[in-house]
Amino acid sequence: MSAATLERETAPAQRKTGRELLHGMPWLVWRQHRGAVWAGLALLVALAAAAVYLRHGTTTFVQQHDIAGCTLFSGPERCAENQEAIQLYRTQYQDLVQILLVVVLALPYLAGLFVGAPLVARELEAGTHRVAWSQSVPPQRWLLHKLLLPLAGLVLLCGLAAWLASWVLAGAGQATLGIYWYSALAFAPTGPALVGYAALGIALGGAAGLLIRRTVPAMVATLLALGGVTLLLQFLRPQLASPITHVSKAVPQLAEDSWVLSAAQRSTAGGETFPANLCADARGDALRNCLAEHGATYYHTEYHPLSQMRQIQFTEGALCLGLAALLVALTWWWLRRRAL
Amino acid sequence: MNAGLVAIEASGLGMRYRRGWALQECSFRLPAGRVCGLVGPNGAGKSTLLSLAAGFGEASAGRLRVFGADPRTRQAREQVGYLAQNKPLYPRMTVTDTLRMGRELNRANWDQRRAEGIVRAGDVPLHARAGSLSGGQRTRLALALCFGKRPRMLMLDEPMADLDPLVRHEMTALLMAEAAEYGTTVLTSTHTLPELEGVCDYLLVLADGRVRMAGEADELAAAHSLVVGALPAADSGQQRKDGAATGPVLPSALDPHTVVEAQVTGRQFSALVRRGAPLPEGPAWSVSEPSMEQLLLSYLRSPEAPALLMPSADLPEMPAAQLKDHAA
Repeated sequence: MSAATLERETAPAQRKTGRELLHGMPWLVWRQHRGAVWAGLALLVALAAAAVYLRHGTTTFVQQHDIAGCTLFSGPERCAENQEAIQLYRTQYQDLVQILLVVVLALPYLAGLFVGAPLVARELEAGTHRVAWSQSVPPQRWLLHKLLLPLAGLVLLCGLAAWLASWVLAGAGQATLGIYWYSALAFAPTGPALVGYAALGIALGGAAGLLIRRTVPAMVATLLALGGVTLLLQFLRPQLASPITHVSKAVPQLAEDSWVLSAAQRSTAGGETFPANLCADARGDALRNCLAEHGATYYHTEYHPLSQMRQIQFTEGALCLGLAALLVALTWWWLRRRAL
Repeated sequence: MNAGLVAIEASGLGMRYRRGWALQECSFRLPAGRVCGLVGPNGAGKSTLLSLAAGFGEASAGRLRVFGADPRTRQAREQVGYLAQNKPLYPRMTVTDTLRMGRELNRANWDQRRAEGIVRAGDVPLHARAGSLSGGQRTRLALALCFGKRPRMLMLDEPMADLDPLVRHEMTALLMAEAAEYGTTVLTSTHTLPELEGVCDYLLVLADGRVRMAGEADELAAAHSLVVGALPAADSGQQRKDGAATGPVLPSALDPHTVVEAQVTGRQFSALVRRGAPLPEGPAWSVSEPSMEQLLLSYLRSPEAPALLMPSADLPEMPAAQLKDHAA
């Protein structure tokens, strides 16, 4: 090889190194998943555009029709004349906002299914993990990079998506639009819980991939496990913050956006509640006497006010993150023990 | 022996999968600088041994050292190149990206020029995806990835299995040239014997997860004799009374030697023996040196024959306590 050809060959290589931002395992992870990164960014841009459109549309509508803080059949006096506007508002925007929420809610599941499960499973299935492991990087290090870098990316994506959804719902007004923060549809996508679910999806996918070693079964397992955790947490959700107990003579008038757990049960002044069929047969005076006889002349209500929303969302997110961390640690330990 | 001169040292090595033991009580040494053939039938434990030595998992029993280090440490990984069975490559990565991966994941010792040289010498298109390459080009790229790492030892798991004879010859030549230039120790597995002829100067034979034979190829052959002759008339067809062995009795002149395998046709016998003493031609038999293929087949067919390890492959006795200590 002559000096001239040598120069010609090394020059572009040197120019290239100046542009190389990523090195080592981060480069490999980027090289393998750059398609997914671009897809995620495109999705984020689309979500942002939809959010801006919805936020602008809803706030303009609310201002024009003076229905801020209004809802159907209650709210300040001025709302009574605006009921039709609220109806129109809901027909126009409720479905659109719900679609946005569904898309955002689906992100952690899509992440677990299409990013988490194939991460390790596809390599084990095709045997390509042996390429990476034959280099100088130990398998445990490879695994941590493969899991944690996509996990960080999806946490970021879902964090931004949740922030966008929350921004839209806050602008639209929960009560006015009729989509409440405590509904199964709105709770996760409008808060930090979504970040936890995304991390859990990736961790579950990675663990399932390593254990099952085949892509499609790992995807199924990930979806089932993540669905199971979602159902479990939905069941536990009311207990994630201590509810406020309200005991009063009259049926309490709670804010429209309060999450009522047990509505207006008959109770004593001390809050001791009675079964719903107490004095069920009695009417009028007989009922009053019957209730007085049992001392059940108060109403007992338990609820989470809107002010507790973030606390519950953060607790649920933290639970998911903790579970995800545990799973990553278990996966790492499992790989250390196993020969593949 | 100096640790630097020993490429692989296994003592009491065992590997157990759910289906059973893939390797059991393997003890041997592979001196550095050798080109060693790892031979055995399918399922003998060849791939298991190679992947353990490449640091892919934890042995279930015993101990394994690569250049004196635990194969799972970074220190050992940097010194060992490993080409797994079926030569896996990321199919969607281009040739350039595959070499870049080598550079990124072997930052301490990557030799870009050497890797690129191997690829260019075979006219492998640099911007083609690895999945679209021909078998020969794939092998060349995989070898470039291995040699770019500047390994002290290169382990290959059936590297020529899917190649036609022409490409196989070309790749063997490339492998041997690179290994010779840098003094790389090579350990290559195969279950087809002719692949190894004239290439390997060392042999490690596995069967049923155990070491059957290890040592210099020519010395292994020279330590054995093929004896062909007529059975002694008096002993012919006679059965032993204890019933332990029902076969015909070989001439008593073979007693000081270890009979690895004996075949009898009519009054003729043919026995492969490991000489315990000089074995001259007899009145009724002739003695010759077996071919490597005959030797290997005899050992693989006779699992009851004792294993043979040449001094360079044998491990000095190690106290049991020390072994246990290493295993933990």
